[in-house]
Amino acid sequence: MLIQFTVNKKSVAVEAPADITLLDLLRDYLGLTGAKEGCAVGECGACSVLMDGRLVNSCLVLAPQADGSEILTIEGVHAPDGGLNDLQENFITYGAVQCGICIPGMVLAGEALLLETLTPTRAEIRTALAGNLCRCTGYQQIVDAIEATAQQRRNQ
Amino acid sequence: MTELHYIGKPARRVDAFDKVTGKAKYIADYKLPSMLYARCLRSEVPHARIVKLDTAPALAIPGVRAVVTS
Repeated sequence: MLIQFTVNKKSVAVEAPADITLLDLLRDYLGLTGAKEGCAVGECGACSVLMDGRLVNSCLVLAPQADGSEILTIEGVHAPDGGLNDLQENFITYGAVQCGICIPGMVLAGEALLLETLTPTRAEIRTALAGNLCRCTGYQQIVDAIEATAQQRRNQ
Repeated sequence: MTELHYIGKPARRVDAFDKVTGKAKYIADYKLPSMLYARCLRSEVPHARIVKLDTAPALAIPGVRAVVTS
């Protein structure tokens, strides 16, 4: 079936089977491999994308459900000039990146939280990251990066 | 003591840019021309001895290029 939606501010129309996931659609049909399949059952969050502003596990979204929606993947996260945005810079600065497999999901989870509040407590940040697993860092540096970004965006 | 260039200085991770932008490619992100896809057939019983393997039915399915047994 034809699935039409906006991804990273670009309109796309993809002919794809009706029974694949949004994750498969993004990775295999659109070549957007930023979202990763970590578990395929909605537990790890490596497949996280924003769908109409909401953080979702794209491995649990059927591709036809994306029809008419606005999807933001990690490939769409950047500064106006195309470089790293403040959250991405802080992820690097605060040492939140090790193997990196969780990072696309973590960045999107961070952006989703910062869309809702610029004054999250560390506990609230951790709650917002509850659906994103990281095996490398122990989460501290990721929380630091999001907390620092929230403060910087408050001060703008 | 002579000035140390790297020891004791913060270092920017060399692959961090690619990882935070989603550009970094992991093994499952690669798509090569004429790439084949493999699946493991696992035992359906917890303890057994393999007496015979009949790979002919699998090889007869269109698109199956090979059946690899150990």
